[in-house]
Amino acid sequence: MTPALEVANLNLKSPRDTICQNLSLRVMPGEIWGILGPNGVGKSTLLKTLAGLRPAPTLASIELGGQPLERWPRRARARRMAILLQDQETGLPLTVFETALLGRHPHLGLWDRPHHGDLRRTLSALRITGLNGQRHSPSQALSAGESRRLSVALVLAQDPDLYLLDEPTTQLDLHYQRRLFEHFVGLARKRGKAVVMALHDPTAAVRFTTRVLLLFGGGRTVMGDSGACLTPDHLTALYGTDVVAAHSPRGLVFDVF
Amino acid sequence: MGLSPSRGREHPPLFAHPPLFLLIAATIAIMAGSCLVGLMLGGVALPPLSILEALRHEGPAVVQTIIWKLRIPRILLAFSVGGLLALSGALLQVLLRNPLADPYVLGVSGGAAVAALLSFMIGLPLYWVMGNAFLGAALATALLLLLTRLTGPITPIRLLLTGIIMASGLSAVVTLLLALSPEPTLHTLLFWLMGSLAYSPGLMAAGMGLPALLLAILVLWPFAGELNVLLRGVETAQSLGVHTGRLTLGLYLFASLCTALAVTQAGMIGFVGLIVPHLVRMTVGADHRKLLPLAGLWGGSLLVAADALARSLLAPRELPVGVLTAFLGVPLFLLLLARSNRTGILRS
Repeated sequence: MTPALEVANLNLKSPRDTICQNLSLRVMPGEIWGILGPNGVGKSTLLKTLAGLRPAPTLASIELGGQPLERWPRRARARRMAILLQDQETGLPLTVFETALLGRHPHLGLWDRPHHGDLRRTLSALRITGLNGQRHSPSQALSAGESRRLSVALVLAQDPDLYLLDEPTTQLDLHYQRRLFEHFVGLARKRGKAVVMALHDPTAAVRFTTRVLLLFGGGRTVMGDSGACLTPDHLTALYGTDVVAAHSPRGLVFDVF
Repeated sequence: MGLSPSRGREHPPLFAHPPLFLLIAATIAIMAGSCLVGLMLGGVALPPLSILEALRHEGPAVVQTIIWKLRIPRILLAFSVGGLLALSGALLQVLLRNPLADPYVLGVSGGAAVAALLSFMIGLPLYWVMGNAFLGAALATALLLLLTRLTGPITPIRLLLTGIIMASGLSAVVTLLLALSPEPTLHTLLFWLMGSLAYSPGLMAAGMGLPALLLAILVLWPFAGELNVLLRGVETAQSLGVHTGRLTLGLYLFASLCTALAVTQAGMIGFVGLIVPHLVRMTVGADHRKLLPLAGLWGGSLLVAADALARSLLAPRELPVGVLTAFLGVPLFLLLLARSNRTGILRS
């Protein structure tokens, strides 16, 4: 099976710190990766580099679906890979529906109008994110959590093979956190999609991801199966605060408070 | 996206805005209405019946001359200038993701004006004036991008601030050039700068303007989808497969070209580029598939009507149409601002 994403020899630096050194990883279809690390350690920079929004260092190799990232034509790449960014410009008013429909852009030719399939996918993305009832509202009229869900809806409408998600559940209430996590798990299990997401909640990571990449700063990384890597020791070192593990009826939970 | 309410029959329509046929009908009505006003009003007010006669080349020769030689060319000119300004305003507003952007505010028309003024003053022939106006607008745009880049990263808000400061600098240059220009040409130049269709060099009046406007709309229309994507910011647009660098550079140049064509013909007419795109957004939303053609056509109609008023309000004196658009534009903008509170459209 071709990896959804394969990274080799990636050295990334932020102005402050080294993010990773000689990072090599392979994301297979059906896998869900979590990237965890303290604020400012470079999770977003790493995701943007993987998405091709930032130039990758010359020695690194990033392959999407078995082909170097830079060799993909833009539209084809956008059909293959989507990224959910952390903050989102909303300058002038498209409606909620029109915004989610933008996810279909890479699937449309220059003179195409969105057809039935595009509309259906967009509507289904709005239903999953619970925005169907507000589809005529201007996108600026949404609350912060709803705007976040709209950004997720756009990415869902894009329907790629690989999802790069930068903190997909920030600002979401508990219901939607769970609902969206479970939706992405379903996409990975049933449709073989690959997901790489930056996260802050180790309990969510242990519950919903299959593999994790921990960024400690200073270029130190730990990578492996979620169950094996997400230990109180690692997490305590990761966040510099005491993290304990406990067992709830649903499985492992991590507690800091 | 001119889609019919689509197949979701059990649901409300997918698109909140008026259906396409209604928009087309309304636009035709607006265009016809403004042209009628443009034919009727002026130094001599003409009743619709004698206009009809004159259009069929019947009736008094004076009326025929007024209609065919004066008012129709003037209407065509006003229509194309208004349309080009509105189109360029709509483009700059997406490029800067800012509802305040327009060629006037950003100094793009200032650049065109300085170049055109200089060419007038050294007595260059007409086509040089036009070419130089375009160069001036393009240079002003390039300078805007360059100055913004030199002082930091190119972000929409920094571009807007740099543009505003450049616009005031260029308007000082215009004042300087006027102060240096000889007495006899001063009045003409002044009126041309204030925005007037009466001193048009005439190339467009010969019927070039309208095809130019329609061509501009046609050329832009295929990019409407990419402009929609650009509304979500550069990075999102890139991740959705848009060549943002190529697209934005091309659009800045295109907006400069539209502005230059308009400024050379009619001087500095403000507010059309600002107001019309907002008016369209209020009615049909920000989808550029509808916004671009409607901004062009409504902008043209608005300037035709404003020019008719400029010709007739204090007839036989003619007011600079730029003054009229400002008088219309200020209250209209405030009205839109008040309405936007309710619809959340200008909130940012």
